Amino acid sequence: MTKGRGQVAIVGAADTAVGKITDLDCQALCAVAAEKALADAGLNFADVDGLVTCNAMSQPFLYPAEALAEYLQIFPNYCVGLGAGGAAAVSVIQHAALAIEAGLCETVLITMADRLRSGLTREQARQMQSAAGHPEFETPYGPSAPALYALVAQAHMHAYGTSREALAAVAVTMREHAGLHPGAQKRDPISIEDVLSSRPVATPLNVLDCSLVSDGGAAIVLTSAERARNLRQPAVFLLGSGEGHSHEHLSAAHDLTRSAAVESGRQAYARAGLGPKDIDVAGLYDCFTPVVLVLLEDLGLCPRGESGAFVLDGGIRLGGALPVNPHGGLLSHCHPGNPGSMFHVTEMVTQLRGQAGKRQVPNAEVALVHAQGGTLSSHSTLILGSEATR
Amino acid sequence: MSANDYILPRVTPLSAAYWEGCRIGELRLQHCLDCGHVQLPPRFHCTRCRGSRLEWRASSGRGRVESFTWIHIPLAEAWAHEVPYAVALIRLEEGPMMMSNLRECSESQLSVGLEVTVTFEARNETIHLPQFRPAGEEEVTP
Repeated sequence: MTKGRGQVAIVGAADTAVGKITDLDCQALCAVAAEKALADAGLNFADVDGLVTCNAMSQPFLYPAEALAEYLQIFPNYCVGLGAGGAAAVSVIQHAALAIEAGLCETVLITMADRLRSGLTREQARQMQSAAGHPEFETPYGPSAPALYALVAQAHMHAYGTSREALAAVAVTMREHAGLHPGAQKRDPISIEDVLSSRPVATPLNVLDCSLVSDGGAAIVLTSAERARNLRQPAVFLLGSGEGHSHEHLSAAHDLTRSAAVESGRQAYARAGLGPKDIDVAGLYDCFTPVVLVLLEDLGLCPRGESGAFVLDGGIRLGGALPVNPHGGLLSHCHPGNPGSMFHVTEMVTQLRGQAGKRQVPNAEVALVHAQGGTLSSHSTLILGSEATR
Repeated sequence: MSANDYILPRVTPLSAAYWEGCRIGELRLQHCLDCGHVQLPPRFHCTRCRGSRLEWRASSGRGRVESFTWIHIPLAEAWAHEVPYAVALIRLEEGPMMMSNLRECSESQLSVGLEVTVTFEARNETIHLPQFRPAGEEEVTP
């Protein structure tokens, strides 16, 4: 256990509506999420002295955090716009916690939103697609974002004999979970057969192996453990965090089936003084089905090479050995881009408070959240715990 | 850029020698004269010993497929007529891994471990894109 363990807590969390949103822009969605998260915490904008956000692809600003502070008319001591792709929303929590521990500020509002479904111009959508590859040494070969993850899936299948059905089972489980969340974008159940017969995108991945394209946002409020005691909701403590960075572009990856989630997870476990066996529920980044398999192995949540069997045996379902993404994840709840993993965080908070209703994991005390950006490139892990674990 | 144009690489001062090699049918890699490390993409220094004595040498052009995918929904309009097209990660004999397309290769032929050899495709006067095809293609009887 290390300095800082349990010194900062999440005291407010909220999601906006997700799916297709046509009456609000990204800044307004950030404001809506912020207002809800502050109300959840029993706080208001005057209590916020730190602000963290990431840029919205559909409404970019040169300095997104400063632009959002201006929009909200708040004047923080600590104001950061962060970019690490999909890992950003988890990574920001580590940054915000450090700022609180260092005394730079006491209460940080983290709010982000994007509208990838209805807010992108044709040109923005085209640029986003082609931005995934290295502009000089990858993009000229025409790899789409799903194709990059398909290369990971193919390598995993070759290295460990992982079946096509195992990939599909990830999507099926996420949909099953989303069916229990009233706000999820896709709630109709699907079968392994449905995934296998859906439209091919980049072999072995089909449309149902790919995350949704969504509008939406979410916010959380972070403060010192001391202050957290007097607030409305049961506090959720940050027990440990870590990051890992191995490459940005897939052709520079040293290993296609083992990512820097290993290093990221190792740091988070060590700081929390906990291990994979202590995790009751996990929020794992699931932009494409193979990512969940790689992360389960890299984070030590199942033995290396056995993630396929683990998932096919129902290991990640509610009621299974380690329920993953009870809200339905990026595959079935929503994926508005950079803010996508915020929903994994808000779901873990809901689970640790025991407020998840029909999808509640019984006696959830310790949760792990892991997000990645790029193509298994940048990684960020958090371990969160209820009062009992502090 | 018109919708029918392939996305072309943006050549930098450091990569000009690479693309010049491609234009004359040579796949060039940076070799470190101090530690022998071979690297791609080109850089200012050697990523192993941080030395700056780097030399361009022609690769054998041979490698093995580490992973591949057949793309059915193209990255951009320019690739639409090629679907499904193969994108692969290729481990070159000299060490570096690179992304490329597989040409003259059927879906049943392409697998992890397939031995491949470089070939060049002119995209315009200066950009000849390195592509790969199965090695020993010539020996295959119909």
